[in-house]
Amino acid sequence: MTDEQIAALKEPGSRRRAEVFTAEERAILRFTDLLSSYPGNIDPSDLDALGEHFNEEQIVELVLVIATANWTNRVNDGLQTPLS
Amino acid sequence: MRRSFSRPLWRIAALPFVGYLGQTGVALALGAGQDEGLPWLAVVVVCQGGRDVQIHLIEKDQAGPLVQRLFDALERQSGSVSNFNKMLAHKPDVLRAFNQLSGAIWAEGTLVPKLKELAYLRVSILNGCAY
Repeated sequence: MTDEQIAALKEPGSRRRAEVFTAEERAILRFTDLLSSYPGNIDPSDLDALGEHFNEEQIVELVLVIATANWTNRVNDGLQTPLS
Repeated sequence: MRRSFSRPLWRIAALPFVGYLGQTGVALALGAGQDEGLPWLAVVVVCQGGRDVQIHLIEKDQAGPLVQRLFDALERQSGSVSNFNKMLAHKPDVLRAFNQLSGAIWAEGTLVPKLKELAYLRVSILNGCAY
């Protein structure tokens, strides 16, 4: 990943994302934000948006990655795991 | 002031308070005196919050055989054992199960690894997590 992409990932909002990420990547980022922040608000149209770029199996894999990443982060934050 | 502390209501209220503070490790100073023939306690409280809890990491030399075996496997896989795994080692079955789950989720599938990593990185940034 380029420095520009990492900088865009850290920025609130998604304006710069259009410049540095592909449509596929932006769809992933949008869904990742929703599932990590407002999981209860996800509705079928959000899956439809992913479906523009990914098949069923890919969407399952993506959701599992996002879910475990959140789990890992919550364990680390909750138990205050020291940084290596 | 002294007089008010000597009232029975104050003493009744103060006793459980002292017990509670003692349990939570809050600093307190006790004074004792005599008023109208009855003992009283003056409590000076410096509130510092709860106990200093730090969940320790399980190191290999403190671990049981299952965790040692799992740590060996993690070392072979990635060169070292992360603090996250040393934390999970408090629950050896969870350490084992999570690493199996994680391995299966990150195993080669249909979504290209670069895109999985993008999602993972974004979650960490969202959570303000430096891990």
